[in-house]
Order: sequence, then C-alpha cells, then structure tokens
Amino acid sequence: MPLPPVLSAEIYVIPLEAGRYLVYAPLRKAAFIGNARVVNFLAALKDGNYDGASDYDGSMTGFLRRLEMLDAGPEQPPQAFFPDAHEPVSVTLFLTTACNLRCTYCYAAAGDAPARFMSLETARRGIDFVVQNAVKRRTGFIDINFHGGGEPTQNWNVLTGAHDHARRLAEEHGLQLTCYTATNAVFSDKQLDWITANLQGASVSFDGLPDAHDMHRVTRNGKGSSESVMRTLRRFDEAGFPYGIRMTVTADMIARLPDSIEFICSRFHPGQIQAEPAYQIGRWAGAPSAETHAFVAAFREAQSRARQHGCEVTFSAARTGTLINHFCGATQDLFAITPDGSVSACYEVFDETNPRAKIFIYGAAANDGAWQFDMEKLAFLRRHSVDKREYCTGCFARWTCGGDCLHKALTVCGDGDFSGTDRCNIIRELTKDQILARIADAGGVCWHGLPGSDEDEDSSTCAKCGEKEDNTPAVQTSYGKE
Amino acid sequence: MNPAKDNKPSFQLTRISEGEELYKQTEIVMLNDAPPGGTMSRRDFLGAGITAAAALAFLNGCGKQGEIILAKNENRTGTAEALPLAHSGRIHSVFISPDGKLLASGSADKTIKLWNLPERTLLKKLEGHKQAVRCVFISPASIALVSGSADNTIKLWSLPEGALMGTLEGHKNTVRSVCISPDGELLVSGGADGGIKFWKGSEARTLEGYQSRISSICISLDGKFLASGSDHGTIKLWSLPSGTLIKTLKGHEGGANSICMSPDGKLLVSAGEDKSIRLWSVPDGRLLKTLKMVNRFESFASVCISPDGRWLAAGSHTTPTIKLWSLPDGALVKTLLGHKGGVNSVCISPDGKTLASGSDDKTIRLWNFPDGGFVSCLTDLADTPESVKGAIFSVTSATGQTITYTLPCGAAIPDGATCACNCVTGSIKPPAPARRNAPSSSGGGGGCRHGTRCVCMAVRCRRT
Repeated sequence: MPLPPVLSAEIYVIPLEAGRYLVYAPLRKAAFIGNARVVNFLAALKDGNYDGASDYDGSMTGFLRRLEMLDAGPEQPPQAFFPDAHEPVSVTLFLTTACNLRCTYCYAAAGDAPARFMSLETARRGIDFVVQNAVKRRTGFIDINFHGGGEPTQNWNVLTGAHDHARRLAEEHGLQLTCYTATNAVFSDKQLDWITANLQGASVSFDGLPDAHDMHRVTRNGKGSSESVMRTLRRFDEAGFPYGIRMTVTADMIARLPDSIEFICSRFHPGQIQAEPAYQIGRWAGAPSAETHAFVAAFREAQSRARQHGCEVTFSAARTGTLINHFCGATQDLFAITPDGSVSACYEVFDETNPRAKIFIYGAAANDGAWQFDMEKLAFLRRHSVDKREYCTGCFARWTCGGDCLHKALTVCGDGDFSGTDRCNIIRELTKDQILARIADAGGVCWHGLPGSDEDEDSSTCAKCGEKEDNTPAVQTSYGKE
Repeated sequence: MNPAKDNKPSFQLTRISEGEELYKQTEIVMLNDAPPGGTMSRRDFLGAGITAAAALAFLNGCGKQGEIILAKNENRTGTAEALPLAHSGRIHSVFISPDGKLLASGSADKTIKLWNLPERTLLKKLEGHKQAVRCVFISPASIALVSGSADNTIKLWSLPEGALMGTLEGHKNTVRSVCISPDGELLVSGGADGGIKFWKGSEARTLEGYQSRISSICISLDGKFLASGSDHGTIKLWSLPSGTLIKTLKGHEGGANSICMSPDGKLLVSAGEDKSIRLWSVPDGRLLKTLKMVNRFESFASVCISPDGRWLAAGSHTTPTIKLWSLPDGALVKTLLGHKGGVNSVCISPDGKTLASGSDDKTIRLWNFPDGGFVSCLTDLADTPESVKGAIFSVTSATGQTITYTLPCGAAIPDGATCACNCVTGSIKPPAPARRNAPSSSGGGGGCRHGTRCVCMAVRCRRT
C-alpha cells in the first residue's frame, strides 16, 4: 500500500473572493489559485489526514508534487551567515550632512543643523580597511558607496579624493572597484562629467512630474529643482550611465503617482524606479501618512502604466522571488561611516545625535587608526531577522520582505516587540500582486520559480533599459534615502 | 488604511469553511489573462476552475520549470523577458545595406552586430567602442560601415569582413548621427556637442551655425542637401558640398528627434519630441503637414521613408509601437505592435519589402512591408538568457537558401517551415496557396501549439 502524501512546504492561504484562495509556498517559489476544497485538502494533509476522495485519480497530489508542496523533503529557509570577525569589503561613506536642497520631507532634515563634513583621512581609513579585508578574504572586489544624511556631492573633494584613493588601491591589489552614489542630481556639468566617467551607477531622487517634484524638492531659496534633475537624467541617458530613480510619495502626491511614473518612463531610461511613501521623521515628522490604501491603488495604476512602457516600479520590501530573512544591511553588518568617523549599520542613522544611534552606531576608529567594533551591538542587530519575529509568523510575505526596515519598525513600535506597521499592509498587497502576475505570466495555472534562483535580481531592472545585463552591476537600492 | 498594528497577520494553512459549499470538488482556478498591475485588485481576472488533472497536464506539457506561454496573436506574444534577444543592451540603431544583404545594429552594449538579412542569421559582432553605439550607417556601395558612439568617436569598418579600418576623433560628446553621401566621398557626423562635421580622411571640418545638440542628420539621395535636426527643435538645410546654410525650419517644440528625406529629395519628414511628425518641402522649407498623434504619450525617435516614397514608418521611443503612414497625404495606415520597449530605430529595405526595427527591449524585429505582418526576430543566442523560450523555424527557399525564423512562443509557423519546437517536433506546415493580394499580417496561421498552448523550448537548446 503506497504511503500517504506528506506536506513538504510552508503554505499560506490568501483569500481572493468567495471560496477562492491564493495558495502560496514562498520557500518553494510556488503558487496557484484553488477553491476552498483544495485548501481543505491541504489543511487535512497538514494534520496528517489524507482525503482520498478529493484525489481519486491521484492528480491532485500529482499537481502538488510538481510544485514541491508534497513529498519534496524539508525546505531550506533563507539564512544569513555571519563570520566571527567583522571584515567588510563594502563601505558606505556618509560624506556630509550638508545639502543644496531643502526637501520638505527630508528624513535627515539636511541643512537644519550645522553641516558636518567627512575628512579625507576618515574616508581613506574606511577604504583602507575594506581593501585590507578584501585582500585577506581574497574576494577580488571592493564596493564604495556615497550616501546621504546630506548630498554626497556637497563634499566633492572628499568624494573624488576617496574614489581616487580606492581606485589606486584596487589597482595595486588587483581588486575590482565598484562605486555608487546616492544623489539629488543637482550638480555642475563638471561634477556630472566626473560621475559618468568614474562611477558605476547612481541612485537619483526624483519625484516625476516637474510640478510634483518642485512642490517638495526645493533649493535653499525655495526654487524647484526638477529642471536640474531632468538635465542630469538626460545626460545620464546620453552617456548610457546606469542609474535608478528613487521616488518619495507624500500623501498629497499619491494621486499623481501614476502620471509621475508615466512621465519618467516616457522620457528617461532608469535601470530601476523605486517608489516609497515618505518616512515621517526628520522634516516630515508629524506630516500626514502616505502609507495608505490610496498608495496601494496608485502604485497599481502606476505599475500598469509603467508596464506599457516596458518598465517596472519596485517597492523595497515587496520582492517576490527573492528569499531573505533580513531586509537590508542594517541587520547584516552594513559598514557605513558617518561624517564624524563613527560606524553605523543603518542608512538612516548618520550621526550620534540620531535617536536610534545607540542601536545602530557600533564602532569607530581608534587613535591608531584601527577600527573598533562593538560586537555585542552587531550581534543584537543580527538577531533582528524575520524568522525570529513572532508577529510575522503568519504573514505570507515574510520570506520576501525580510521583516522590512528595522529603523521604521523601531520608530513605529518602539523598542518592544514588533507589532506591525502600516507598511506591512502595503507589502502584503503588492506581494500578492506580484504572485498573481507570476502565475499569469507562466500561463495562468500556477507559478513555480526555479529552485535557488534569485528572480528579482534579474527582474528588478527596468525592462526598458535592462542595462544590468550589460555586465554592469545594478544600481544599488538605498532603502532609506529620500 | 487600517493600521496593521495589533492585527497579527494570519495566513497560515488551516481548514476553512467559508466558500466550501460553493464547490463539490477540488478545482484549480485559472487566471484569464496576464493581469496588468493596475487591475490586480479586481477579481475579474479570475477565470474558470479546472480539474487537478487538467492542471497537471499543463505542467507535464511544460517541462520542469512549469512555465506555460500563452498562445496569442503573434504580434503580441512574448513578455519582455521571453523574447529572443539580438543584443544584451537596448538597440539604438538599425540600418539595412543598400544591396539588401546586410543589416547592422548598434547597441547600448557597446557592440555592433552584422546580420545576414536574407537568412536572418548573425554574421559578426564588432567590438571596439567604449560606450553605447548610438548610430550606424552603411555606405552606398555596401563596402563600409560607419558607427558613432557615446565614447565620442566614429569608427569605420570594412564590409562584409567587419574589420576596423579607423577611428575618427573630434567630437566632444556623443556622436548621435552619421551619414555618407551617395557618391561615397563625404562622411558627415552630428554630435551632442552641437557640431556637424564633414570628414575627409581623418580631417574634419565643422559647420558653423549650430549651438544645440544635433540629434539627426540626413543627406538627400541626389547629394545636394544635408538636413540636420537638433534638440532645440530646429531643422537646418545645408547645401552640399559647400556646407552653406540654406534655411532654418522652425516648428517643433522640443527636440527634432529624427529626420529623413524622400528619394526624390522634395520632402523632408521630421519627428519631434513634441509628439508631432511634420512634413516639409525641400528646399524652400515650407511646412506641408503636421501629423497629429492619437496617443498623447507617443513620441517618435526614428522616421524612415520607403524607397518608392509612398510610405512613412516611424518608431516610438515612448511607447512600444511603430506607425505607418501613406505619403504624401499623411494618412495613418497601420500600427505595428509587438515590441516590449520603446522603438529607437526603423529602417526600410531597399526593395521596400522589409521593415527592421530596433528597440529598448533588445530585440530586432523584421516586418513585412508595407502590410506590417511580423516576420521574425534577429537573434543572437549568446545574448539570450537560458530561460527565454522561443521557437526557431527554418525554411529552404527555391534557391536552396536556408532562412531562419526566430519567433516568440505562440507565433504562427511560417509557410513551408520546419518546426523545431519540442511540442510538434519536425512537423511541417505546407505552404499556403498563393494569394492574390498582399500577405496578411497573420503570417500564415496554423500556430505551433500543444493543445491551445505552445510549449516552446529554451532557445539556447536549439543550438544542439
């Protein structure tokens, strides 16, 4: 007598309409839509009961076996492996808190406080460290990223000096250097030429329709910056320079998101367009939330229009196909250096005055130049993986969102246990969309991704440009940058 | 939005009672069609329920990855990820040689590819440019290829060998357009540095009078006129060989993306960033007609007039469409769908029977002209990901020439073709009876199907 089938997948059931459910096994990258009886057939198997009447010809089990939901052995949840020593080969340099813009929603409130600038010596010290680690670990590469807290190009001499230093060391040690910057794209021709000639990509903050952009992204004098940004984007396109666009959506701009996306897709060629609701901290603290149903609806409409142009809009924590248990580097040993020389694990925490500095700032350079890290703090951060969050155990999006942004979670939930945020609803809705789209793209019956493949690594690039396939690395997504 | 706080998500598999009474047996529910992102929240995309046996049959017919590609109209089949690719970057320029034997394509992947157009096979990949190749042009005698690049250089290549003959330096920014005079004596280039250069050997003379970035240049077939378009929207007419400015044509608001002159040299067509196409008389520069766009987002990057002067083709870089108009009346005749990204370049073959298009989706498509039926993609298997499904057919012509068709899954089998698709291996579709009128855009019908689904192989497998 044959053995009864055994459930071999962590299965989630998402209601779609009366009696019809999306059945999703994230770790198998498998999904289909079934009726209530299919769900109950699976539920019975979970309890160790086989409903033979629902499988009289064996096709139900045959179908589920093909999707690895039955009899496929144990699943392998994603895991991050941390070495004992902290030896990063990527460094993020928060070059300055100064900014030439005064965006209304700036999470860093850049420009409000006296500006701080990283010294070239500090930058070099960080680069020396990652080079030393790359040589020791024989990785063959190093990554240098310039990021916010301000506009990196405002500390231009250090930016270029750090890059020169990194390039010199990379050549000396036979390492491949990859260098990105996050930027507001308001800079001089000379700077633009240098960036296209020397960096491998940029993440540009741009909100789409010029009047929408100019409503929030203004200069010190209150003048809109869209003209400058669009000029930069045109020049990037002209040079074939890889860049991504990072859009921040405030509550008042939600309705305009589809038009803004269409504006971008019809005029520019970014490798990626990421749209995120404005984070209600910094200058935007207390402002109306954009993490709403309206945002989801607008995002869907924007996605629809983007696809007509061969583009894709992404949301940082909705990435079906990519299995992760950490959202970003904040809980995976990000090595970011603040202007003052402290080491931060989070893009949002760029100085000691940040309310979360005690959590995310975990090191500094000693007098002799050696980096010293608080490994207990790092261990604490590493423990914030989604598999350790009790609240998330029943969420179908957990293995693809990785627990979302820890900084945002702490801001909403405080230091206690995670109890969900409004972003969770957005993540689930958009993840559900992506699963359904995958089923549809695969012929309408079911989706079964390739085992071990990281699909979003490929699909995250804008189909319009797809420059990632030109042997150039994708533009780095900076989850916190606004 | 209801705050998620304190509402712990609960989607774990558990027995449910709601809706069970609606169904007597287990059913897998099909999606009616690929739901566009914007309509995902609506439920009308949910289709009929099928039995698990039917669902299993679908899976069994589709290989281990379980991917099933819908068989649809061939002009619409294939997702952006599932197209047989010609380049690994977006395609900026395509050009068919005057003898009709070669097609050259220039791409953001920094390469130029030479294709055997009648056989639709890749001949050579030309490497040397350090940045995207923005424009390609084949000399009137089909013995030399000129390419302009974002690396600010122009390169000359011999044909059909594809050997690099020289590099011309002088532009200070991207070389956006190159053109050779009909007598083959004069090479003209236009750049984003605002310069128009006349090249004799490696020496260049720069035309005076331009400040804006040059987007496009064109020399009339009689060799008497040069036309240039700029990012400011002005078009200038110059006499050749002197390079004297004859006229400045104003009208476009925004850049003049592409210009083209009719074979008799009396008509100039320009496509503007302002989403208009304008017809001008040459040499007096009178505006004859403005073609209005139906789609407010449609802006054209490339225009081409057929050798008989009766048709105008234009590729839109803001929507994945190609449009055909009749000339001189400017009546819209047809919209060609199929590309999954903006169309940057279109070119009509010298015999007027084939239209080639290069797109942001990295594909080159060939179309019957002027009826607009999709014929084939030009495909470089080396640049096509393993996962891409496609169908490759071959037809042996009366002269013994083997013609290759690379088509998205679900496309109709070409007349007389041998199907190499794994669902109907080796089947031959008999040639359709000769039709009196121009062939229809369906390309012959009788699609390669497995039931109602095509289960084409990964294109790379076809190499073995």
